[in-house]
Amino acid sequence: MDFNIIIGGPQGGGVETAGMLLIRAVASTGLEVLGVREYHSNIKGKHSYFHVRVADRAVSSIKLPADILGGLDPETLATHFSEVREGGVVVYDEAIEGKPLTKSPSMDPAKVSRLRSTLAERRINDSIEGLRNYLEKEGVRVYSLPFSKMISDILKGTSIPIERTMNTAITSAILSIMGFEKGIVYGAIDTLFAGKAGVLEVNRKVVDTVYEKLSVEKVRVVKKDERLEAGGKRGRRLLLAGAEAVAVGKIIGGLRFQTYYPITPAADESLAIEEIARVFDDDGRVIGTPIIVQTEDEISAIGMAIGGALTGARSATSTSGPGFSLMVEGFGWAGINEVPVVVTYYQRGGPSTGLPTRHSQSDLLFSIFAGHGEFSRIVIASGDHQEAMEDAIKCFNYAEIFQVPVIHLLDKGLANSVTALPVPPLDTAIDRGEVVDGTEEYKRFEFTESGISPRAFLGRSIQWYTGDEHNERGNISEDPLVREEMYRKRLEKRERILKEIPDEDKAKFYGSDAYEDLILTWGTTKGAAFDALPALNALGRNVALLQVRLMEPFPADYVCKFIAKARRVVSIEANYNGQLAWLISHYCRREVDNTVLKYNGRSISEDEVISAYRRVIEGEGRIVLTGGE
Amino acid sequence: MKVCKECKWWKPDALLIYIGECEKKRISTRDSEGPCEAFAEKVESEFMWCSDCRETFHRSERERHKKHVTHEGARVDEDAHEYILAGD
Amino acid sequence: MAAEWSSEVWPDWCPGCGNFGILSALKLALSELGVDRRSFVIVSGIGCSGKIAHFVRTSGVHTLHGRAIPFASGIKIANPELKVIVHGGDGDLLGIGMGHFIALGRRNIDVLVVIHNNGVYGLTKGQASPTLGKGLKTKSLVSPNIADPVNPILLGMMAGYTFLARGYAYNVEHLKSLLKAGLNHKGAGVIEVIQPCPTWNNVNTPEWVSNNTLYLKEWDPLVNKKEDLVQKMREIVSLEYGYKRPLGVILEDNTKETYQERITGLNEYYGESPPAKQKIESEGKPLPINFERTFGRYLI
Repeated sequence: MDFNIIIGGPQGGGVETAGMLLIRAVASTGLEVLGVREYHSNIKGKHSYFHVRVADRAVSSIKLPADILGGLDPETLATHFSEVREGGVVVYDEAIEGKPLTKSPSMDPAKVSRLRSTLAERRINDSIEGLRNYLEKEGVRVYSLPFSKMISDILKGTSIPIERTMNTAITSAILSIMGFEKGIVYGAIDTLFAGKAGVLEVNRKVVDTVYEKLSVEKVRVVKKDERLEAGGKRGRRLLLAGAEAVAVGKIIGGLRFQTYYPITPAADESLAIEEIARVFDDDGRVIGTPIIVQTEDEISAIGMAIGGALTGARSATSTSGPGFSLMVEGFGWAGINEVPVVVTYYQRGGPSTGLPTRHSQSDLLFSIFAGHGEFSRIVIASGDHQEAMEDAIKCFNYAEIFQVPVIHLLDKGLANSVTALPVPPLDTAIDRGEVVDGTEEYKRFEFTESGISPRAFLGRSIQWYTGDEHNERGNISEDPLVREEMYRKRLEKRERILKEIPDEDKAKFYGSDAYEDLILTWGTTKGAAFDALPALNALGRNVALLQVRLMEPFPADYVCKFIAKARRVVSIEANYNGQLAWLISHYCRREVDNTVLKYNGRSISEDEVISAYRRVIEGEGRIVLTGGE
Repeated sequence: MKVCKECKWWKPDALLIYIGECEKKRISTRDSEGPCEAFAEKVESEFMWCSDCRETFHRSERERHKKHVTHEGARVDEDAHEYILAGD
Repeated sequence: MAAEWSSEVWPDWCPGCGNFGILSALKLALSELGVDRRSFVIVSGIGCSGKIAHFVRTSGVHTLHGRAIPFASGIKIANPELKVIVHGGDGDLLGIGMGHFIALGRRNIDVLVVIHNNGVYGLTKGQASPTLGKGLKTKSLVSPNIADPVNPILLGMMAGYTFLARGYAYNVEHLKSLLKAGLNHKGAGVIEVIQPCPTWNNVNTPEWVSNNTLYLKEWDPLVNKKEDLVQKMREIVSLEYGYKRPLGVILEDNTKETYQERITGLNEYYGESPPAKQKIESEGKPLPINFERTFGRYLI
């Protein structure tokens, strides 16, 4: 069982709530769910949508075509109608019946002109009715339901605004079509509108009315024997977005000081930490509280985070491309001073302001090479929500064990998408590396056998730090021998890091050892490749998947072994230059055979991986994906 | 026609323009509802909302919106801040 | 006494540099206050003045150009038990670092900022800094300066600093007393120190100082009631626009909460246990966190 639902509407008008209601309702039955949000860099008005995938086994990507499309306005239907499969369902409010498709002021002019051509080509009349006729001819079932009429009848005499209930109406319709019981919707509403008694009651009535209307109309997507049953006992789970998963991971991992400057899509993470606010034990006592500071700019954010790390608090800052660009100088200071600070870096469309709310994987090389001069750092890229949560803890550990700044590399796709995760067991190690109290003669940068100097926190012992090259004490030194030894000390850490980090944090392999083709990927693209793997193998060749996680120091010894064994290597990533493929060609001395790339700001979906692979088999060397709205 | 869309008391929702709120009766209605005894002709104010263009405009630009459906203002959801995502 | 506060690092400033005066005043102040050298931190910027972090026998964090304040803020917020002082040049703190200078005032974090004001960017050959008067041409400039100078005392006042003072590098006794007062004050403080630079600045010389400054005698810098602050600010503006630059404590405002107090007001646990002091693990594993109570908002 594998459903894909798209629910869309103008931003700030309830799509977000509709989507969350849908996700919450299906997740509460124990099913697996992934909801990807696409929205504009805008507060209200521009088009946004939720693509929700519901299945009985874990899913890590979205897939087209959609089974159901729900729209609150003409722009949604105009944008997504061709993404609905034959036999699928389109639902909307009959109040928009008379509206044209091409006249929404919020629609991008390029989209409008493409739409006009499509409508002309397929002889669709520029109106919702026209679209409806066309879709019905194509075998799509279209239901225009009197939502606003139903709601205004329910609301008669109350002062509750209609929008507070529109989301519920359209979501109830979708859930009813999918065969879910009414009670499940109640549960989701109770959570979402908790504390708003009047609104809650009215919404329940909306659910009742919609369900009744649809049972009368007998609208169902699933056949009776294909009913969506509860997905079985999955135990307690966390329903959250990627940024929130990282927030939870960080707090478990001991984060106690976080700085940030508001930037999309990272700001949500700091907001989540602020909302969580306190860590409680079983007796209800506060056993920890992370302190968040919103700084005046990103340069201050990295500076304060480093200051915090020097005092011994686990400190981090969370940002995106434009922010990290400002942090680079500070990051270098952390490098030369061996400061264990974590930068949680959510990639988004670049360059410059780019696409603030859209997906991209184009900062890999930047995060590996950022900063003048040469110094050791760690860059870890997580491939899904679970990994992101666990890696948040590992990043702190590695930062403190090896005393290097760490970049936790993530992406918008992960940050904003919502899924249900099992509650993590609290048994990940917390390793603070070699911490000492320090003596009168303490030297912060002492040369040791291991290459790591014991670390005393500021306050425990006199110590010096400087951005200049320095001696063991931390005082400025331009002496050629001191310089050579100290510079080398910092860079030799790479070897140690590679030796000590376990294989599972370097890269993950999925599939059969007898593979012929190897898909190479990283970040959330891994989800689409992983979900597509069975279908790829059904095309004839033995295909496996390698997801690289540790990007710097690059685990060439481990990764290149997999590359060498492959007859064909196909890299898939969301950027133009094939940045991981470039790293592979450099470290493994082998050019990747086929590159599949995407840089239009939308996530790579499972079906795109499959169709791209078909083109790979036909001999296309460089394939650019263009799906998504 | 004395329907909500033509009435001075009615403010359309800024996003889902076919529904809105009546300031006088303090209820939500659809744009085509009516006739209603409280109906009053629209009045021009310094800033107006155009439902066709979905934008706020100053009276100096009223010529551009001559043939459009305009109102004194649009209704916004006060709780929108709870679910809007960071956009920049 | 001050000698035990000297580190082993050779102070490499030019002979006659005003920084020697500031360094001596600092060491005397620390000695007389009986500060615990392990929990004192000097955070400095880039330039001649920034090197001061290495010359005192206490912890020193020599940061980036203009960025001492963020580093100092992070240190102080994470561990308020540490006493933190910022030393930086005028170009560092009032040029590239101006944004952070203002931000510190808004937050009133308990950090004292000492501006080594010599009117130039010394280490890079003497370019005009934000405090050099318009029309002035020092020996290091090709043409006279065509930008108006900023007044760090007035800027600090408008930004929210609760301790303002001005001193002179070669009056060590006086400067020492300003430093002591500043370090004892709870809240964000600024001491602007007029620092002659014999190598690059032949305008703001000791002779210029004796003709253009005056020591405050009858001036009352104290504000103990909120409603008195605005009046005091008006008086300070008049004072600063006087014929000569005033030296001494100009403002001591005790009416504002420090940043730490503000955080504690929202989160009482912070007051008991700031970030650097919190236990974050138990025998190498995460703390015994109760999921329901801590992350309940996400549970389904």
